[in-house]
Amino acid sequence: MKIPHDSAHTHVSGTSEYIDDRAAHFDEVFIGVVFSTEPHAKILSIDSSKLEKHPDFITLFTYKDLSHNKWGSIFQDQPLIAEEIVQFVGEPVVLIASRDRFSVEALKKLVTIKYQPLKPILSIDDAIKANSYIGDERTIQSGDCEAALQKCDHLISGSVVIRGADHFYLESQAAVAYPLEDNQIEIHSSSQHSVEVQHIVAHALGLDSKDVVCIVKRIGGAFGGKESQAAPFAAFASLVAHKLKRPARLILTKDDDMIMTGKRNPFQNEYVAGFNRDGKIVALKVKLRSDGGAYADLSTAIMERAMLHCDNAYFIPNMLIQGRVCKTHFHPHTAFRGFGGPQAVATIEKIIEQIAKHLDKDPLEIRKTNVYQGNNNVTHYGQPVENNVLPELFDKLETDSDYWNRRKIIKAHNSNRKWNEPLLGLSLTAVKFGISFTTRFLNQGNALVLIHRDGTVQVSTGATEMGQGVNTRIAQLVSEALGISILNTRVMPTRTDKNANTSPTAASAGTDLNGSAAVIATNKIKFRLAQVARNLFVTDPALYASKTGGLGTQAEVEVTELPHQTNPNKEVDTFGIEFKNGKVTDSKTKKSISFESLINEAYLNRVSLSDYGFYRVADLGFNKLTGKGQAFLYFTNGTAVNEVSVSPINGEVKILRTDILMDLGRPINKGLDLGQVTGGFIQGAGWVTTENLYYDSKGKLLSHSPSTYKIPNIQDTPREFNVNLLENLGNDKNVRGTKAVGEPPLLLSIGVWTAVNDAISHLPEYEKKYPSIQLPATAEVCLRAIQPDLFKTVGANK
Amino acid sequence: MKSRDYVFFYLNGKPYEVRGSDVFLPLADYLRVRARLTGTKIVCAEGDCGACSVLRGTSGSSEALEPINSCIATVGILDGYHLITVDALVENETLSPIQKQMIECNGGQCGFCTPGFVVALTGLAEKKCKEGCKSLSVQDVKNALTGNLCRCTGYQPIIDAGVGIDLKSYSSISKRFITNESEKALHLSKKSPIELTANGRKWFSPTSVSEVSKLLKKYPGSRILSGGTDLGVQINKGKTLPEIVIDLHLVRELHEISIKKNRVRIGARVSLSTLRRKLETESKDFSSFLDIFASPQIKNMASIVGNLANASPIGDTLPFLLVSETTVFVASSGGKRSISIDKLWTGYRQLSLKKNEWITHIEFSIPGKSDFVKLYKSSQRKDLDISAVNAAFWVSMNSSKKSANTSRLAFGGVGATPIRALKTEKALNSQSLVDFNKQELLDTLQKDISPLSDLRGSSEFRRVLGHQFLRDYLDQVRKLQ
Repeated sequence: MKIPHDSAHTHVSGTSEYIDDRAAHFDEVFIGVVFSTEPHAKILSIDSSKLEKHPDFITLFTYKDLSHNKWGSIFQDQPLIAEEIVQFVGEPVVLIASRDRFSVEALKKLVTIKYQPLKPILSIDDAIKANSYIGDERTIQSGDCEAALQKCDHLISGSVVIRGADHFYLESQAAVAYPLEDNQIEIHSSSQHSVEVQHIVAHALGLDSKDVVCIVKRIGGAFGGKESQAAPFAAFASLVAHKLKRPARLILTKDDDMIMTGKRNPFQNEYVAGFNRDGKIVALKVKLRSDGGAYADLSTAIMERAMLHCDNAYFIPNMLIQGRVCKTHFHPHTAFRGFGGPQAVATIEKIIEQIAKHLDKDPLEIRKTNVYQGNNNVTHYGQPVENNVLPELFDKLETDSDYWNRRKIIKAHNSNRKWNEPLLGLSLTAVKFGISFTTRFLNQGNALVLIHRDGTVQVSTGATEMGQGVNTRIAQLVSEALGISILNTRVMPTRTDKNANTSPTAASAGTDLNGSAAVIATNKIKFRLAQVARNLFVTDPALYASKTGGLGTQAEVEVTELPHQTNPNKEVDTFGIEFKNGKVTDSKTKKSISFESLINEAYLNRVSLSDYGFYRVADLGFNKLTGKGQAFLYFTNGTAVNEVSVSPINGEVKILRTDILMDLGRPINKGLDLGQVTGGFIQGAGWVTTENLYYDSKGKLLSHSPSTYKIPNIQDTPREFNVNLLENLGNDKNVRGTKAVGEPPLLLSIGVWTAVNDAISHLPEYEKKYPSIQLPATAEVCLRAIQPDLFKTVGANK
Repeated sequence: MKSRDYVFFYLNGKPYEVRGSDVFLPLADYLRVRARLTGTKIVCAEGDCGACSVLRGTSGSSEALEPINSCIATVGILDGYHLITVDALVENETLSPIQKQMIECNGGQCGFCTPGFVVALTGLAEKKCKEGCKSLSVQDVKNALTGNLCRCTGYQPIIDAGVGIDLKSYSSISKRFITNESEKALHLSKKSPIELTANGRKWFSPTSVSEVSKLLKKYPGSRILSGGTDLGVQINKGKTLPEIVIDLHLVRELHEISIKKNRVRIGARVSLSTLRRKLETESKDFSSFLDIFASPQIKNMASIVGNLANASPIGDTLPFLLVSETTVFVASSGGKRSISIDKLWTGYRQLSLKKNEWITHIEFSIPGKSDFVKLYKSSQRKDLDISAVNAAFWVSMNSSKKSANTSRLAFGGVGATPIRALKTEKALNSQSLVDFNKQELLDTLQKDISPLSDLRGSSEFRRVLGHQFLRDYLDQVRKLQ
């Protein structure tokens, strides 16, 4: 049965509530954030004299008003509000409280901050020169890479420039805080990590966690951009509410959001690959350098995932991966769908295309030679690739997409083309994405399941709903376990007073962690309910508790508890009693009672109808110091064929056709999963083509709104877009055999970029060398690669 | 006619009189904060994402309901219209067929853009129903949704939803909101001009050309407001806050459009959508060019005269107007005169108008059988993006097609104003169309243009684009022979 997103009907009617849709209290204040206009400078003075004359001005706040100013998800190195020094354009300096939301922008302009500029670092190269890093260099290696490089038939080397991207969630950072009695705070935040918001707010205000409740009803898009970076804005709203004892609202404009918040980490990677004449890669050395921006944020964890994904779908026996995060004076870069994985996978997929060029073979042959298969199935960090469907994904898509025939047609087109006719390119790439947080302790989740007396169910978890449909999937899991209609189950807003110590909804693991916990909680209740039913089926209905009117004439049903469970896939023994279609039935006697009636009887027998489930992912063991171990519970896999055209007139890239084949295990909700695939893919397609973060010489982002920052438009979707799933019932490690889907499809868009390279490499000047264009392949980048001579002659005119 | 001090419109079928400083608010803010209709979302506040889309119905017109961007539409310019927001699309607790389709195809994920898509798709269904269409093609859906950004779905589910709308069983929503009573009330109200003052700011909506000129003389430095798609952005982004606004929408003659022989005459308030509809058969190239220029929401508001008066070096209609012998008609309290478009722009966003003059209408030529016209545009993203370089080329051939009677080559994005490549034109006019020296023409072009570098492209990129556009055009000219 097709089950839509649980908010689908309120989304389409405009009644879904987001932070700024909350009705304003009569005494609510609106917050403006004045941020640094310098990338690196000493603050000399803050002049607010003009501001104080404005009738809507209430008061302002600086770092001095906070009990604790430092925060950070991994290292607590970042001030919520700048103190003496600013380190990026967009760093908060002053908060203004305004009476009127429509006056905030005018009020912000009335503050004058004087700076003494310091030397900024505004590129990875400059950071390397200045020895400016966040954390140490890390190494993950297998075999003996240096020795293998000496022995192989061929060597290639090179570098790749991969630039960042803005999340462009439609709902900009938003929070509204309500002061409660006894110095408590209720903070509503558009955050992927309710518990981190709770902790950061409490710490910043000098409160205890018990005094702060963070509530996340839903998020208008996040993509990683609200994993860590929602918290400061929640802290600002909480500070103002706490100090003024009035509700306080902070809604960033899209422009301010894009200037202030971090992006996907740019990377500059250098590599040497050794391979044999048959295309088998025997050794790979990659040095990854990312731009972390001004503060650590999540960049070191992102680098770790990048290092773990340098193999992608390919078995390379000798690998030496080194990674280090550079500290610059840009906004602190952060999580973004894929979390370093895409930057690593782009590197290895490019290397493969370059090897193919070197050997004059088709890149698909090289990929098939190297894909994890048979005994070639252990990653460079020592984890075996189990339930490996990668060879099948390659073979099936190769056939289904008619790869070789199209390759022939494209070759013929490109060699007979007139100068102004488009260049065509084709590329089949893959993804093997590790599912689990690489930081082990994050791989836990908890859930609270409440069954009410009418038989309807409320579920609360730490998962935040940002469009991905985690609430729908959790509702499905719980409803299926209880055999009731999904319409009788509601997943509630995420609240830290219901679910504590939860992990961010990230790493594609929202359903895995929280759905598992919800199933475990539900099973505990179900075990008790089965015992009640078993008892009722041998009792005269006239003597049911509901019929004896609370007289206490009958003995109560005594139930025992389900032994502790950690595996959501373990069937609960219900004594032959089935929960199905809203009925509870003894499979032998066929005696039956409605779920609703059973619930009422259970209540009257003083049987608990609520429970709490805790889930921890088993068997994880990645040792960060040795770089070895079981980093992931399993892998989500996929392949894609992308065909593009590149205009030799203006460098414009069009995606002509995309064929995607993914292994998502056994989907809980296929419709929602397919939406993640098309959405992730198109989001990635923007990153690799038109999305251009353009900074001025002072490190200020100039492309800070959709008029200048171009995410894909509906016209940019592939002319032909085929998405299919491979049937794979073998992922018994995860709840219901499903696989996480959030991030992996984004990485298939890398094939758009390699296809652009492929198109350009058909030009005579690229007969021997791979084009090696940067990512994103913007129109200007492409035209420069296609018409290098024109840029030298025509372009040089003054 | 006695003036009034309020703006009058019907919102979701109910009459609203808006007074005071709320008249200067963006409609989206008014809807969300004042009317508490929060289904309409604000994301970019610059008309580029469509989350704020609402439907606008023109009173006294047979045109279908059209989507507009409420974030950049000032409340004042909506006087006299019917407005319908997403909040009103559910009828008697039943979802509309479009809403059902969006659910069926998983068209929404995070939901923030969804109301805008639902409104834009409703606009499409209303329009196509009126045209008697029975189904929607993929291209119909894509074109109607060019102005709506979604970051979650990858659009495919939304395309599927749109294509699946069954127009045969679709019944227009307009009769639910537009009644004889509301039409009458709006008609009556539109006859009286608006004059209001709030917090020191003044709003005027006069009803005649002479009144506009009089006000402009009385209040020098006031801002003329036509479709307002640029001014709305500038206000939202804190770049300007006009003290005195003279809004043109109640001046009936400024809404007029006519074609006589090959000359098109367009009033200052004619929207790009109206223009496109009118020119569909007359000038295919220009009207299909309008398809990649801006979004339906913008084109339903923006005027071509506004594009011209805004004088941006990269205004997308401007190269075409430069090559199509455009005459600009201006008025002031001192009288009327006309200016050739070649003399209109004097510098970056500067016009050669005298003090208190304003543009009432323009006239331009549409290409005839012996004219070969091509339009070019290059931007980071093909659709709904500001150009790095745009161009329009027009060659009128003599009857033998051997040589050009005249050629006009215009570029945008290669200098402070849109320009004609006069040296190149001269060189082309002096050569035969059969064996002109292409390289020489291309070299000459580089002397005509002087682009700068900015976030849309480097100066080298722009020079190469100009070169490539002309090269492509000249190849096609040669093929004509």
